[in-house]
Amino acid sequence: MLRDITLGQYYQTNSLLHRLDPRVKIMGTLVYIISLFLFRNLFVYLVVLGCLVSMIKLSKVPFSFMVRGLQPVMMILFLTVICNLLFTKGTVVYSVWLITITREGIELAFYMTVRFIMLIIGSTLMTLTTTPTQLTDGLESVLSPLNKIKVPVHEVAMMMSIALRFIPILMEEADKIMKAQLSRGADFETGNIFHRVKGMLPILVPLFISAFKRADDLAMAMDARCYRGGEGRSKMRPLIYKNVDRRAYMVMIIYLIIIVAVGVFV
Amino acid sequence: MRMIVDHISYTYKENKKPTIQDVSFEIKEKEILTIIGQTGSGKSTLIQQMNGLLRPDTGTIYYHGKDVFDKDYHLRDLRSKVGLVFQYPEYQLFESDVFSDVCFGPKNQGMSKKQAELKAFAALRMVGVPEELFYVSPFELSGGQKRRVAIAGVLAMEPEILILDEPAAGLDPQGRKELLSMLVKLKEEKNMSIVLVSHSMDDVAEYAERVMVLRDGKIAYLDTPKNVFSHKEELEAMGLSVPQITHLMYSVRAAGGMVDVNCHTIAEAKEAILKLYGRG
Ligand SMILES: Nc1ncnc2c1ncn2[C@@H]1O[C@H](COP(=O)(O)OP(=O)(O)O)[C@@H](O)[C@H]1O
Ligand SMILES: [Mg+2]
Repeated sequence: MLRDITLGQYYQTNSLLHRLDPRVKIMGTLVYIISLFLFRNLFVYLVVLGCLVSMIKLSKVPFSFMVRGLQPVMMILFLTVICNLLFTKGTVVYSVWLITITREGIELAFYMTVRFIMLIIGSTLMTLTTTPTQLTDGLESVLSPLNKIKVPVHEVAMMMSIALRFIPILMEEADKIMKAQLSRGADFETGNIFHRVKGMLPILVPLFISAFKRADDLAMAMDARCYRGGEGRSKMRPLIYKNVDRRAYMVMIIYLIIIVAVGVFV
Repeated sequence: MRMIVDHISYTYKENKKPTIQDVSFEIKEKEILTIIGQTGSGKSTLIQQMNGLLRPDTGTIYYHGKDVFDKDYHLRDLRSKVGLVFQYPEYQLFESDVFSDVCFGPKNQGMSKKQAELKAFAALRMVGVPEELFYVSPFELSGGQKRRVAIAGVLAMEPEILILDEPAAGLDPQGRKELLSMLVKLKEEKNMSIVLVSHSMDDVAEYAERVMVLRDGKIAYLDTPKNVFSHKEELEAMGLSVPQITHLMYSVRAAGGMVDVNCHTIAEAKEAILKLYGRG
Protein backbone atom coordinates (compact mmCIF):
# COMPACT_ATOMS: atom_id res chain seq x y z
CA MET A 1 0.00 0.00 0.00
CA LEU A 2 2.58 2.56 1.13
CA ARG A 3 5.54 0.99 -0.59
CA ASP A 4 5.13 2.73 -3.93
CA ILE A 5 6.96 5.94 -3.05
CA THR A 6 10.35 5.87 -4.77
CA LEU A 7 11.59 9.32 -3.73
CA GLY A 8 14.60 8.80 -1.51
CA GLN A 9 15.02 5.16 -2.47
CA TYR A 10 17.97 3.34 -3.92
CA TYR A 11 17.88 1.03 -6.93
CA GLN A 12 20.61 -1.59 -6.87
CA THR A 13 22.50 -2.20 -10.12
CA ASN A 14 25.98 -1.56 -11.42
CA SER A 15 26.11 1.39 -13.79
CA LEU A 16 28.44 4.28 -14.49
CA LEU A 17 26.17 6.61 -12.54
CA HIS A 18 26.15 4.24 -9.56
CA ARG A 19 29.94 4.26 -9.48
CA LEU A 20 30.38 8.04 -9.62
CA ASP A 21 31.47 9.89 -6.51
CA PRO A 22 28.38 11.19 -4.64
CA ARG A 23 29.81 14.72 -4.64
CA VAL A 24 29.85 14.66 -8.44
CA LYS A 25 26.24 13.56 -8.51
CA ILE A 26 25.16 16.22 -6.04
CA MET A 27 26.92 18.94 -8.00
CA GLY A 28 25.54 17.49 -11.22
CA THR A 29 22.00 17.59 -9.88
CA LEU A 30 22.55 21.17 -8.78
CA VAL A 31 23.82 22.13 -12.24
CA TYR A 32 20.85 20.33 -13.76
CA ILE A 33 18.36 22.18 -11.56
CA ILE A 34 19.99 25.53 -12.33
CA SER A 35 19.85 24.75 -16.05
CA LEU A 36 16.11 24.06 -15.70
CA PHE A 37 15.41 27.50 -14.30
CA LEU A 38 17.91 29.58 -16.26
CA PHE A 39 15.91 30.10 -19.44
CA ARG A 40 12.31 29.79 -20.55
CA ASN A 41 13.09 28.55 -24.00
CA LEU A 42 11.80 25.48 -25.76
CA PHE A 43 15.18 24.61 -27.32
CA VAL A 44 16.91 24.70 -23.94
CA TYR A 45 14.36 22.23 -22.65
CA LEU A 46 15.00 19.96 -25.60
CA VAL A 47 18.72 19.91 -24.72
CA VAL A 48 17.91 19.29 -21.05
CA LEU A 49 15.50 16.53 -22.00
CA GLY A 50 18.11 14.91 -24.21
CA CYS A 51 20.58 14.92 -21.35
CA LEU A 52 18.04 13.55 -18.89
CA VAL A 53 17.12 10.69 -21.21
CA SER A 54 20.76 9.75 -21.78
CA MET A 55 21.41 9.87 -18.01
CA ILE A 56 18.44 7.56 -17.41
CA LYS A 57 19.83 5.19 -20.05
CA LEU A 58 23.27 5.36 -18.40
CA SER A 59 21.83 4.63 -14.96
CA LYS A 60 20.24 1.31 -16.06
CA VAL A 61 17.30 2.06 -13.77
CA PRO A 62 14.01 1.04 -15.43
CA PHE A 63 12.06 4.09 -16.54
CA SER A 64 8.92 2.80 -14.81
CA PHE A 65 10.70 3.36 -11.49
CA MET A 66 11.02 7.09 -12.07
CA VAL A 67 7.43 7.39 -13.18
CA ARG A 68 6.35 5.68 -9.99
CA GLY A 69 8.17 8.43 -8.10
CA LEU A 70 6.02 10.95 -9.92
CA GLN A 71 2.67 9.51 -8.93
CA PRO A 72 2.48 10.91 -5.38
CA VAL A 73 3.11 14.49 -6.59
CA MET A 74 0.70 14.31 -9.53
CA MET A 75 -2.08 15.91 -7.47
CA ILE A 76 0.05 18.95 -6.58
CA LEU A 77 1.13 19.29 -10.18
CA PHE A 78 -2.46 19.12 -11.37
CA LEU A 79 -3.53 21.85 -8.93
CA THR A 80 -0.72 24.21 -9.98
CA VAL A 81 -1.60 23.71 -13.63
CA ILE A 82 -5.26 24.53 -12.95
CA CYS A 83 -4.35 27.62 -10.90
CA ASN A 84 -1.95 28.85 -13.56
CA LEU A 85 -4.49 28.34 -16.29
CA LEU A 86 -7.31 30.11 -14.46
CA PHE A 87 -5.63 32.98 -12.67
CA THR A 88 -2.99 34.31 -15.08
CA LYS A 89 -3.88 37.65 -16.66
CA GLY A 90 -3.06 38.49 -20.29
CA THR A 91 -4.44 38.06 -23.79
CA VAL A 92 -7.63 36.04 -23.64
CA VAL A 93 -7.85 33.06 -25.96
CA TYR A 94 -10.91 31.35 -24.55
CA SER A 95 -13.65 32.56 -22.25
CA VAL A 96 -16.77 30.92 -20.88
CA TRP A 97 -18.88 32.34 -18.03
CA LEU A 98 -16.40 32.94 -15.17
CA ILE A 99 -13.54 31.03 -16.75
CA THR A 100 -11.04 32.84 -18.89
CA ILE A 101 -7.93 31.24 -20.22
CA THR A 102 -5.06 33.39 -21.43
CA ARG A 103 -2.12 32.79 -23.70
CA GLU A 104 0.25 33.62 -20.87
CA GLY A 105 -1.60 31.21 -18.61
CA ILE A 106 -1.18 28.33 -21.04
CA GLU A 107 2.48 29.14 -21.49
CA LEU A 108 3.11 29.38 -17.76
CA ALA A 109 1.26 26.14 -17.06
CA PHE A 110 3.24 24.36 -19.76
CA TYR A 111 6.61 25.51 -18.46
CA MET A 112 5.63 24.78 -14.88
CA THR A 113 4.68 21.22 -15.78
CA VAL A 114 7.85 20.60 -17.76
CA ARG A 115 10.09 22.03 -15.04
CA PHE A 116 8.31 20.23 -12.27
CA ILE A 117 8.37 16.81 -13.93
CA MET A 118 12.00 17.15 -15.00
CA LEU A 119 12.98 18.40 -11.57
CA ILE A 120 11.40 15.41 -9.84
CA ILE A 121 12.77 12.86 -12.31
CA GLY A 122 16.26 14.39 -12.14
CA SER A 123 16.46 14.35 -8.38
CA THR A 124 14.87 10.90 -8.19
CA LEU A 125 17.64 9.73 -10.50
CA MET A 126 20.22 10.91 -8.00
CA THR A 127 18.66 9.13 -5.04
CA LEU A 128 18.05 6.00 -7.11
CA THR A 129 21.72 5.72 -8.03
CA THR A 130 23.24 6.77 -4.68
CA THR A 131 22.98 4.83 -1.45
CA PRO A 132 21.75 6.90 1.50
CA THR A 133 25.15 6.58 3.19
CA GLN A 134 26.97 7.85 0.12
CA LEU A 135 24.45 10.62 -0.27
CA THR A 136 24.95 11.97 3.23
CA ASP A 137 28.72 11.55 3.02
CA GLY A 138 28.63 13.54 -0.19
CA LEU A 139 26.40 16.24 1.27
CA GLU A 140 28.56 16.52 4.34
CA SER A 141 31.61 16.99 2.17
CA VAL A 142 29.94 19.43 -0.24
CA LEU A 143 28.53 21.52 2.60
CA SER A 144 31.62 21.39 4.80
CA PRO A 145 32.62 25.02 4.02
CA LEU A 146 29.53 26.03 6.01
CA ASN A 147 31.31 24.72 9.12
CA LYS A 148 33.21 28.00 9.10
CA ILE A 149 30.04 29.92 9.81
CA LYS A 150 29.12 27.52 12.63
CA VAL A 151 26.59 25.38 10.76
CA PRO A 152 26.69 21.88 12.32
CA VAL A 153 27.12 20.15 8.96
CA HIS A 154 28.04 16.73 10.31
CA GLU A 155 25.08 16.66 12.65
CA VAL A 156 22.67 17.71 9.92
CA ALA A 157 24.07 15.05 7.59
CA MET A 158 23.75 12.43 10.33
CA MET A 159 20.15 13.45 10.98
CA MET A 160 19.43 13.16 7.29
CA SER A 161 20.97 9.75 6.95
CA ILE A 162 19.04 8.48 9.96
CA ALA A 163 15.82 9.90 8.58
CA LEU A 164 16.42 8.27 5.19
CA ARG A 165 17.30 5.00 6.86
CA PHE A 166 14.06 4.99 8.79
CA ILE A 167 11.68 5.79 5.95
CA PRO A 168 11.28 2.19 4.76
CA ILE A 169 11.15 0.86 8.31
CA LEU A 170 8.38 3.23 9.31
CA MET A 171 6.48 2.52 6.10
CA GLU A 172 6.58 -1.18 6.79
CA GLU A 173 5.46 -0.52 10.33
CA ALA A 174 2.58 1.68 9.16
CA ASP A 175 1.54 -1.09 6.81
CA LYS A 176 1.56 -3.62 9.63
CA ILE A 177 -0.36 -1.43 12.05
CA MET A 178 -2.89 -0.63 9.37
CA LYS A 179 -3.48 -4.31 8.73
CA ALA A 180 -3.79 -5.01 12.44
CA GLN A 181 -6.45 -2.32 12.84
CA LEU A 182 -8.27 -3.47 9.71
CA SER A 183 -8.45 -6.90 11.33
CA ARG A 184 -10.19 -5.26 14.25
CA GLY A 185 -12.80 -3.85 11.91
CA ALA A 186 -11.32 -0.37 11.56
CA ASP A 187 -12.60 1.67 8.65
CA PHE A 188 -10.42 4.25 6.91
CA GLU A 189 -12.43 4.83 3.78
CA THR A 190 -15.99 5.84 4.52
CA GLY A 191 -17.50 8.81 6.33
CA ASN A 192 -16.89 12.54 6.25
CA ILE A 193 -13.52 14.20 6.73
CA PHE A 194 -13.74 14.36 10.54
CA HIS A 195 -14.64 10.74 10.65
CA ARG A 196 -11.67 9.84 8.50
CA VAL A 197 -9.18 11.92 10.45
CA LYS A 198 -10.41 10.27 13.60
CA GLY A 199 -10.10 6.94 11.83
CA MET A 200 -6.38 7.59 11.32
CA LEU A 201 -5.70 7.80 15.06
CA PRO A 202 -5.47 4.02 15.56
CA ILE A 203 -2.62 4.08 13.04
CA LEU A 204 -0.87 7.30 13.98
CA VAL A 205 -0.70 6.78 17.73
CA PRO A 206 1.08 3.40 17.58
CA LEU A 207 3.29 4.64 14.75
CA PHE A 208 4.49 7.65 16.74
CA ILE A 209 5.01 5.60 19.85
CA SER A 210 7.13 3.11 17.98
CA ALA A 211 9.07 5.87 16.21
CA PHE A 212 9.93 7.45 19.57
CA LYS A 213 10.90 4.10 20.95
CA ARG A 214 13.15 3.41 18.00
CA ALA A 215 14.74 6.83 18.35
CA ASP A 216 15.42 6.11 22.00
CA ASP A 217 16.96 2.75 21.23
CA LEU A 218 19.11 4.20 18.49
CA ALA A 219 20.35 7.02 20.71
CA MET A 220 21.24 4.45 23.34
CA ALA A 221 23.08 2.30 20.81
CA MET A 222 25.02 5.31 19.53
CA ASP A 223 25.92 6.34 23.05
CA ALA A 224 27.08 2.82 23.82
CA ARG A 225 29.50 3.10 20.90
CA CYS A 226 30.80 6.44 22.14
CA TYR A 227 29.37 8.56 19.35
CA ARG A 228 29.99 12.23 20.17
CA GLY A 229 29.43 14.19 16.99
CA GLY A 230 31.58 15.10 14.04
CA GLU A 231 34.66 16.59 15.64
CA GLY A 232 37.76 14.49 15.00
CA ARG A 233 35.69 11.71 13.46
CA SER A 234 37.34 9.92 10.55
CA LYS A 235 35.69 7.91 7.82
CA MET A 236 36.01 4.24 7.08
CA ARG A 237 35.69 4.99 3.38
CA PRO A 238 36.81 8.55 2.69
CA LEU A 239 35.59 10.05 -0.58
CA ILE A 240 38.36 10.22 -3.15
CA TYR A 241 37.95 11.57 -6.69
CA LYS A 242 38.84 9.18 -9.51
CA ASN A 243 39.41 9.86 -13.20
CA VAL A 244 35.77 9.21 -14.11
CA ASP A 245 34.74 11.84 -11.60
CA ARG A 246 37.04 14.44 -13.14
CA ARG A 247 35.67 13.65 -16.57
CA ALA A 248 32.13 13.95 -15.23
CA TYR A 249 32.92 17.46 -13.99
CA MET A 250 34.18 18.33 -17.46
CA VAL A 251 30.93 17.05 -18.98
CA MET A 252 28.99 19.24 -16.54
CA ILE A 253 30.91 22.35 -17.57
CA ILE A 254 30.40 21.58 -21.26
CA TYR A 255 26.71 21.02 -20.57
CA LEU A 256 26.36 24.40 -18.88
CA ILE A 257 28.15 26.13 -21.73
CA ILE A 258 25.84 24.51 -24.28
CA ILE A 259 22.74 25.47 -22.28
CA VAL A 260 23.85 29.08 -21.98
CA ALA A 261 24.78 29.22 -25.64
CA VAL A 262 21.43 27.81 -26.75
CA GLY A 263 19.55 30.01 -24.30
CA VAL A 264 21.23 33.21 -25.40
CA PHE A 265 21.60 32.67 -29.17
CA VAL A 266 18.68 30.49 -30.26
CA MET B 1 -16.07 -27.19 7.83
CA ARG B 2 -15.74 -23.53 8.69
CA MET B 3 -13.27 -22.40 6.11
CA ILE B 4 -12.01 -23.92 2.90
CA VAL B 5 -8.85 -22.56 1.34
CA ASP B 6 -8.97 -23.58 -2.29
CA HIS B 7 -5.76 -23.69 -4.36
CA ILE B 8 -4.52 -20.19 -3.51
CA SER B 9 -1.31 -18.69 -4.85
CA TYR B 10 0.12 -15.29 -4.07
CA THR B 11 3.11 -13.25 -5.22
CA TYR B 12 4.13 -9.94 -3.66
CA LYS B 13 4.38 -7.17 -6.26
CA GLU B 14 8.03 -6.54 -5.51
CA ASN B 15 9.08 -10.20 -5.68
CA LYS B 16 9.34 -12.49 -8.65
CA LYS B 17 9.05 -15.75 -6.80
CA PRO B 18 5.58 -16.65 -5.55
CA THR B 19 5.29 -16.58 -1.76
CA ILE B 20 2.29 -18.93 -1.61
CA GLN B 21 1.94 -21.67 -4.20
CA ASP B 22 -1.21 -23.66 -4.73
CA VAL B 23 -2.16 -24.12 -1.09
CA SER B 24 -5.39 -25.91 -0.15
CA PHE B 25 -6.69 -26.98 3.23
CA GLU B 26 -9.70 -26.58 5.45
CA ILE B 27 -10.36 -25.47 8.98
CA LYS B 28 -12.69 -27.64 10.98
CA GLU B 29 -14.89 -26.65 13.84
CA LYS B 30 -13.32 -26.78 17.27
CA GLU B 31 -9.79 -27.73 16.34
CA ILE B 32 -6.29 -26.44 16.88
CA LEU B 33 -4.34 -26.32 13.65
CA THR B 34 -0.72 -25.25 13.90
CA ILE B 35 1.41 -23.95 11.08
CA ILE B 36 5.16 -24.47 11.22
CA GLY B 37 7.87 -23.62 8.73
CA GLN B 38 11.19 -21.87 8.45
CA THR B 39 11.31 -18.07 8.56
CA GLY B 40 10.30 -16.82 5.14
CA SER B 41 8.30 -19.91 4.24
CA GLY B 42 5.15 -17.81 3.92
CA LYS B 43 3.30 -18.42 7.20
CA SER B 44 2.48 -14.79 7.88
CA THR B 45 1.46 -14.24 4.27
CA LEU B 46 -0.84 -17.25 4.31
CA ILE B 47 -2.73 -16.19 7.40
CA GLN B 48 -3.26 -12.70 6.02
CA GLN B 49 -5.11 -14.22 3.10
CA MET B 50 -7.38 -16.01 5.52
CA ASN B 51 -9.06 -12.83 6.72
CA GLY B 52 -8.93 -10.99 3.43
CA LEU B 53 -6.06 -8.60 4.14
CA LEU B 54 -4.25 -9.95 1.11
CA ARG B 55 -6.13 -11.20 -1.90
CA PRO B 56 -4.78 -14.37 -3.54
CA ASP B 57 -3.79 -14.02 -7.19
CA THR B 58 -5.49 -17.28 -8.03
CA GLY B 59 -7.73 -19.60 -6.06
CA THR B 60 -10.21 -18.53 -3.42
CA ILE B 61 -11.36 -18.96 0.13
CA TYR B 62 -14.79 -20.10 1.25
CA TYR B 63 -16.16 -19.18 4.64
CA HIS B 64 -19.26 -21.20 5.52
CA GLY B 65 -19.63 -22.00 1.84
CA LYS B 66 -19.44 -18.41 0.62
CA ASP B 67 -16.64 -17.10 -1.58
CA VAL B 68 -15.14 -14.29 0.51
CA PHE B 69 -13.61 -12.53 -2.48
CA ASP B 70 -16.98 -12.23 -4.20
CA LYS B 71 -17.94 -8.66 -5.04
CA ASP B 72 -20.95 -8.61 -2.71
CA TYR B 73 -19.18 -10.23 0.24
CA HIS B 74 -18.11 -7.68 2.83
CA LEU B 75 -14.60 -8.38 4.05
CA ARG B 76 -15.40 -6.53 7.27
CA ASP B 77 -17.91 -9.25 8.11
CA LEU B 78 -15.25 -11.86 7.47
CA ARG B 79 -12.75 -10.03 9.67
CA SER B 80 -15.13 -9.95 12.59
CA LYS B 81 -15.58 -13.73 12.32
CA VAL B 82 -11.97 -14.60 11.58
CA GLY B 83 -9.87 -12.85 14.20
CA LEU B 84 -6.22 -12.31 13.39
CA VAL B 85 -3.65 -11.63 16.10
CA PHE B 86 -0.45 -10.37 14.47
CA GLN B 87 3.06 -11.05 15.63
CA TYR B 88 3.91 -8.62 18.43
CA PRO B 89 0.31 -7.43 18.62
CA GLU B 90 1.16 -5.02 21.44
CA TYR B 91 2.18 -2.50 18.76
CA GLN B 92 -1.44 -2.00 17.74
CA LEU B 93 -2.58 -0.53 21.10
CA PHE B 94 -3.56 3.11 20.79
CA GLU B 95 -6.30 4.12 23.24
CA SER B 96 -5.71 6.02 26.45
CA ASP B 97 -6.78 3.11 28.63
CA VAL B 98 -6.81 -0.65 28.36
CA PHE B 99 -10.57 -1.01 28.50
CA SER B 100 -11.33 1.42 25.65
CA ASP B 101 -8.71 -0.24 23.52
CA VAL B 102 -10.40 -3.60 23.86
CA CYS B 103 -13.75 -1.94 23.06
CA PHE B 104 -12.44 -0.76 19.68
CA GLY B 105 -13.17 -4.02 17.84
CA PRO B 106 -16.71 -4.63 19.14
CA LYS B 107 -17.62 -0.99 18.49
CA ASN B 108 -16.45 -1.35 14.90
CA GLN B 109 -18.78 -4.31 14.64
CA GLY B 110 -21.62 -1.90 15.32
CA MET B 111 -22.38 -2.90 18.90
CA SER B 112 -23.78 -0.39 21.36
CA LYS B 113 -21.43 1.03 23.99
CA LYS B 114 -22.99 -1.15 26.65
CA GLN B 115 -22.67 -4.35 24.61
CA ALA B 116 -19.12 -3.54 23.58
CA GLU B 117 -18.16 -3.00 27.20
CA LEU B 118 -19.63 -6.32 28.22
CA LYS B 119 -17.64 -8.08 25.51
CA ALA B 120 -14.47 -6.22 26.46
CA PHE B 121 -14.94 -7.13 30.10
CA ALA B 122 -15.40 -10.80 29.27
CA ALA B 123 -12.40 -10.82 26.94
CA LEU B 124 -10.08 -9.17 29.45
CA ARG B 125 -11.21 -11.68 32.06
CA MET B 126 -10.56 -14.52 29.65
CA VAL B 127 -6.94 -13.49 29.03
CA GLY B 128 -6.38 -12.91 32.73
CA VAL B 129 -5.85 -9.16 32.94
CA PRO B 130 -6.68 -8.13 36.53
CA GLU B 131 -9.40 -5.51 36.99
CA GLU B 132 -7.15 -2.92 38.57
CA LEU B 133 -5.35 -2.60 35.24
CA PHE B 134 -8.50 -1.89 33.19
CA TYR B 135 -8.18 1.88 33.37
CA VAL B 136 -4.43 2.39 33.19
CA SER B 137 -2.73 3.40 29.95
CA PRO B 138 -1.79 0.36 27.90
CA PHE B 139 1.67 1.83 27.45
CA GLU B 140 2.41 1.50 31.15
CA LEU B 141 1.91 -2.26 31.16
CA SER B 142 4.64 -4.86 30.98
CA GLY B 143 5.30 -6.60 27.66
CA GLY B 144 3.40 -9.73 28.60
CA GLN B 145 0.40 -7.78 29.84
CA LYS B 146 0.31 -5.67 26.69
CA ARG B 147 0.26 -8.88 24.69
CA ARG B 148 -2.75 -10.12 26.66
CA VAL B 149 -4.60 -6.86 26.18
CA ALA B 150 -3.95 -6.97 22.43
CA ILE B 151 -5.24 -10.53 22.24
CA ALA B 152 -8.29 -9.51 24.26
CA GLY B 153 -8.88 -6.78 21.66
CA VAL B 154 -9.42 -9.48 19.05
CA LEU B 155 -11.24 -11.92 21.35
CA ALA B 156 -13.79 -9.24 22.25
CA MET B 157 -15.06 -9.45 18.69
CA GLU B 158 -15.97 -13.09 19.42
CA PRO B 159 -14.50 -14.64 16.28
CA GLU B 160 -15.28 -18.21 15.26
CA ILE B 161 -11.76 -18.72 13.98
CA LEU B 162 -8.86 -17.23 15.89
CA ILE B 163 -5.54 -17.00 14.07
CA LEU B 164 -2.41 -16.15 16.02
CA ASP B 165 1.02 -15.43 14.53
CA GLU B 166 3.69 -16.63 16.95
CA PRO B 167 1.79 -15.36 19.97
CA ALA B 168 4.27 -16.79 22.47
CA ALA B 169 7.35 -15.07 20.98
CA GLY B 170 9.15 -13.17 23.70
CA LEU B 171 6.98 -14.39 26.58
CA ASP B 172 8.44 -16.01 29.68
CA PRO B 173 7.76 -19.75 30.20
CA GLN B 174 4.93 -19.07 32.64
CA GLY B 175 3.25 -16.58 30.30
CA ARG B 176 3.61 -18.95 27.41
CA LYS B 177 1.98 -21.79 29.29
CA GLU B 178 -0.91 -19.59 30.38
CA LEU B 179 -1.43 -18.37 26.85
CA LEU B 180 -1.53 -21.87 25.41
CA SER B 181 -3.92 -23.20 28.02
CA MET B 182 -6.13 -20.19 27.35
CA LEU B 183 -6.25 -21.20 23.70
CA VAL B 184 -7.29 -24.73 24.65
CA LYS B 185 -9.98 -23.27 26.87
CA LEU B 186 -11.29 -21.06 24.07
CA LYS B 187 -11.52 -24.08 21.84
CA GLU B 188 -13.31 -26.20 24.44
CA GLU B 189 -15.67 -23.61 25.88
CA LYS B 190 -16.39 -21.34 22.94
CA ASN B 191 -16.04 -23.93 20.19
CA MET B 192 -13.46 -21.79 18.46
CA SER B 193 -11.14 -23.02 15.76
CA ILE B 194 -7.61 -21.95 16.54
CA VAL B 195 -4.89 -21.51 13.92
CA LEU B 196 -1.55 -21.13 15.59
CA VAL B 197 1.72 -20.21 13.92
CA SER B 198 4.42 -21.55 16.19
CA HIS B 199 8.13 -22.18 16.38
CA SER B 200 7.97 -24.50 19.34
CA MET B 201 7.72 -28.12 18.30
CA ASP B 202 7.02 -29.07 21.92
CA ASP B 203 3.95 -26.85 21.98
CA VAL B 204 2.83 -28.14 18.62
CA ALA B 205 3.10 -31.77 19.74
CA GLU B 206 1.24 -31.07 22.92
CA TYR B 207 -1.62 -28.86 21.78
CA ALA B 208 -2.29 -29.33 18.07
CA GLU B 209 -4.78 -31.67 16.49
CA ARG B 210 -3.26 -31.08 13.07
CA VAL B 211 0.03 -29.64 11.88
CA MET B 212 0.71 -27.92 8.58
CA VAL B 213 4.34 -27.73 7.49
CA LEU B 214 5.07 -24.99 4.97
CA ARG B 215 8.12 -25.14 2.76
CA ASP B 216 8.75 -22.31 0.26
CA GLY B 217 5.07 -21.45 0.18
CA LYS B 218 3.85 -25.00 -0.40
CA ILE B 219 2.34 -27.46 2.01
CA ALA B 220 4.95 -30.12 2.73
CA TYR B 221 2.85 -32.00 5.29
CA LEU B 222 -0.62 -31.60 6.72
CA ASP B 223 -1.38 -34.30 9.23
CA THR B 224 -1.56 -35.19 12.92
CA PRO B 225 1.50 -34.23 14.97
CA LYS B 226 2.33 -37.91 15.35
CA ASN B 227 2.52 -38.52 11.63
CA VAL B 228 4.29 -35.27 10.86
CA PHE B 229 6.97 -35.70 13.50
CA SER B 230 7.72 -39.21 12.28
CA HIS B 231 9.49 -37.49 9.35
CA LYS B 232 12.44 -36.46 11.50
CA GLU B 233 15.03 -36.29 8.73
CA GLU B 234 12.85 -34.39 6.28
CA LEU B 235 11.91 -31.84 8.93
CA GLU B 236 15.53 -31.31 9.88
CA ALA B 237 16.43 -30.82 6.23
CA MET B 238 13.88 -27.99 6.19
CA GLY B 239 15.53 -26.29 9.14
CA LEU B 240 12.81 -27.49 11.52
CA SER B 241 13.09 -30.12 14.20
CA VAL B 242 11.12 -32.60 16.25
CA PRO B 243 10.08 -32.13 19.91
CA GLN B 244 12.82 -32.35 22.55
CA ILE B 245 11.32 -35.49 23.95
CA THR B 246 11.56 -37.21 20.56
CA HIS B 247 15.28 -36.42 20.48
CA LEU B 248 15.51 -38.05 23.89
CA MET B 249 13.80 -41.18 22.62
CA TYR B 250 16.24 -41.37 19.71
CA SER B 251 19.12 -41.17 22.22
CA VAL B 252 17.58 -43.92 24.32
CA ARG B 253 17.28 -46.01 21.19
CA ALA B 254 20.88 -45.27 20.21
CA ALA B 255 22.03 -46.35 23.67
CA GLY B 256 20.40 -49.71 23.11
CA GLY B 257 16.99 -49.25 24.75
CA MET B 258 14.44 -50.73 22.36
CA VAL B 259 11.81 -48.01 22.68
CA ASP B 260 9.40 -46.64 20.11
CA VAL B 261 11.07 -43.43 18.94
CA ASN B 262 7.83 -42.04 17.62
CA CYS B 263 6.88 -40.37 20.92
CA HIS B 264 6.22 -36.65 20.90
CA THR B 265 4.77 -35.77 24.27
CA ILE B 266 6.09 -36.42 27.73
CA ALA B 267 3.13 -38.67 28.50
CA GLU B 268 3.86 -40.91 25.50
CA ALA B 269 7.55 -41.05 26.34
CA LYS B 270 6.81 -42.02 29.91
CA GLU B 271 4.63 -44.91 28.70
CA ALA B 272 7.31 -46.10 26.31
CA ILE B 273 10.10 -45.96 28.86
CA LEU B 274 8.05 -47.69 31.54
CA LYS B 275 7.23 -50.40 29.01
CA LEU B 276 10.94 -50.84 28.39
CA TYR B 277 11.30 -51.77 32.04
CA GLY B 278 8.31 -54.07 31.85
CA ARG B 279 6.09 -51.93 34.00
CA GLY B 280 3.85 -50.54 31.23
N1 LIG C 1 5.10 -6.97 2.67
C1 LIG C 1 5.92 -7.71 1.92
N2 LIG C 1 6.35 -7.28 0.73
C2 LIG C 1 7.16 -8.03 -0.04
N3 LIG C 1 7.58 -9.24 0.28
C3 LIG C 1 7.20 -9.75 1.45
C4 LIG C 1 6.34 -9.02 2.34
N4 LIG C 1 6.11 -9.77 3.43
C5 LIG C 1 6.79 -10.91 3.24
N5 LIG C 1 7.44 -10.92 2.07
C6 LIG C 1 8.25 -12.02 1.51
O1 LIG C 1 7.48 -13.18 1.50
C7 LIG C 1 8.20 -14.29 1.98
C8 LIG C 1 7.45 -14.96 3.11
O2 LIG C 1 7.37 -14.11 4.21
P1 LIG C 1 6.47 -14.40 5.47
O3 LIG C 1 5.09 -14.70 5.01
O4 LIG C 1 6.63 -13.25 6.40
O5 LIG C 1 7.13 -15.70 6.06
P2 LIG C 1 7.15 -16.27 7.54
O6 LIG C 1 6.04 -15.62 8.31
O7 LIG C 1 6.98 -17.74 7.36
O8 LIG C 1 8.50 -15.96 8.10
C9 LIG C 1 9.56 -13.78 2.39
O9 LIG C 1 10.47 -14.17 1.41
C10 LIG C 1 9.43 -12.28 2.41
O10 LIG C 1 10.58 -11.68 1.90
MG1 LIG D 1 6.10 -14.48 10.08
